[in-house]
Amino acid sequence: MNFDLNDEQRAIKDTARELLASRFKLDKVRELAESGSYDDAIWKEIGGLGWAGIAVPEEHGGQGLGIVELMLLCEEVGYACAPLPLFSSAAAGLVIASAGSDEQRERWLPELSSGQVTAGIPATAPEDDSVMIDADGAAVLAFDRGEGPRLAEPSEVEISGLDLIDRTRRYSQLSGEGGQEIPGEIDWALAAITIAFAGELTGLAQRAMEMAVEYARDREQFGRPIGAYQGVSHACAKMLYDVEEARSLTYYAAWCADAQPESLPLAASMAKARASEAAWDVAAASLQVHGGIAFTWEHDLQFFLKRARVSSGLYGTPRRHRNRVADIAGLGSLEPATA
Amino acid sequence: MKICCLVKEVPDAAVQKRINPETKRLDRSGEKNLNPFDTHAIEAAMQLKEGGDVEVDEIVAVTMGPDSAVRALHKAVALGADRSLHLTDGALEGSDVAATGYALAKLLESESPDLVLLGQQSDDGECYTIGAVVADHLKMPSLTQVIKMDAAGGKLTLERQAEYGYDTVEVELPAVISVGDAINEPRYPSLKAIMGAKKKPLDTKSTADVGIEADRVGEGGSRTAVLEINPPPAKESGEIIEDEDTNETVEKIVAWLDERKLI
Repeated sequence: MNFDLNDEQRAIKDTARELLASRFKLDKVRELAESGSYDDAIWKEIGGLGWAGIAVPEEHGGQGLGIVELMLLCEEVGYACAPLPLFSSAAAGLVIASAGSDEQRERWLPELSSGQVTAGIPATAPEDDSVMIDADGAAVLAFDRGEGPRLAEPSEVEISGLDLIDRTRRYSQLSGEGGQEIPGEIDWALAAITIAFAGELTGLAQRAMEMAVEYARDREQFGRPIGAYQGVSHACAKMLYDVEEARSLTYYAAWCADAQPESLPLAASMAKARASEAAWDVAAASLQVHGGIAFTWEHDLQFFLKRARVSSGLYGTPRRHRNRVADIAGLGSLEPATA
Repeated sequence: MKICCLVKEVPDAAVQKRINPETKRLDRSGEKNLNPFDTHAIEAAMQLKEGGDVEVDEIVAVTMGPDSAVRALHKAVALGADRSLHLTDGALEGSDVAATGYALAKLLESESPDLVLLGQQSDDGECYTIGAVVADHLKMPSLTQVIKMDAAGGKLTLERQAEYGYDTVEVELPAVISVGDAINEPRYPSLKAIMGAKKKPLDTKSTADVGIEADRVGEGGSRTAVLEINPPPAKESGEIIEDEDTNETVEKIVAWLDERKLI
């Protein structure tokens, strides 16, 4: 049995790493975060490469690939901390492809898959105030206000901007119940979206760790690199442990979404719980390794730290997912699911 | 027009370069990738094909290397080549630039290309010379550091970057052109192209298939031998001029530069 990525998956990941590194150098991330905007030209380029429709079936204009491939793209988006509506558009594509009506599929999937339009999607459960990702500027919104999943155009609902500490992504709140019902079952799509998001969190953690390790090699105190001191090296080793565990669980969950759906609910919750914790723990530990410099506005770690802080609570907190794991495993609810 | 692009599998840029002290060759273990300089050659070929000034029938990615070099060929095909050609044979191991150039030329003879394009250098050996060696064997004109290329009427008009400025050169085809990395920005492969790369034709050739004489390739057939490898001498520490009085500091810097005839 081969647990490694195949040649094509590796090529997709390498290409995404190269392109995003070239287009989203950290000064570009800063520029977009400070202006609260996305770069339309970059999005057009990415749309042309087929990324937004990676997991949408070919008959609807997508690439017909799986959740493993989508998750790999999201991991690289997290690694680059890229301000980009990729996750939201790909996620909406998954919902519409798997649960939408024929008319909804025909209307939205070709344009979403080519990146001609973008979508907004919810990032929290309806009872948690319905935080939306990328609703601002989207052509179509997929959401659930507690009455079942719906699809609407922005004119059919109300969207108000939400100012969170993470400025690398657009957040908003939605009210109203306009639009059309999404008729199909969306459980599989929600689990797949959660896994793709866990991929992004893993990428964020990986980069925050690399920044810490690079700094620990370069920064000297008392004539030695600070990484030579156990207080720093042990913190970096813990980061690697966190990142690798998050990645293993996330890759496994993505594989389940494509190949072993009966294991999907458990695998998705395990992945999201661990990736959420890893993203925040690693970013916070990276800040400690950097010391005072990382507290400054001028240092780039802040973008990863803030995105990790906000993202770790979206699509279910680690506590909620751990409770779900306990439920599925027949252990009952272990912790109060209040957050 | 048939364009052949010479490409090479090299250690990934993130891998630290090391020399194997036993073989005195570059240690090529670890992650590998398509030589980034060759992606400019493929892009140049694609722009000729898409530009429409000449009719390009096909673009062939050509490499010499071990089995793993197939991955570099797949990437070249994902970037736009129509098919690929792989020369692989244990007898080629340890070939120097002259032997590699001879072997590639023999392989290219079987294709009869109108134009051979390659990147200015490989990211591992960094010899910058393979294009000239190949051209010599093929009896074709060779140009290096080309940063602009226009094709019309069976000729290419090229702009070549030199120390003193730019040369504008007209060259008749067939020719071997090594392109500089300023010539274009290579495109990124689409998902469709990545997924379709393995479906495009790939021909594998041995030395015997293309008439390579065994005593002209490999370590034994190479005309160079590495006798010894030494690290470069340690850099002398620079002179630090403290900025206590700015006028005085400027005078010191000017005097330092003047002494070395730099201003």
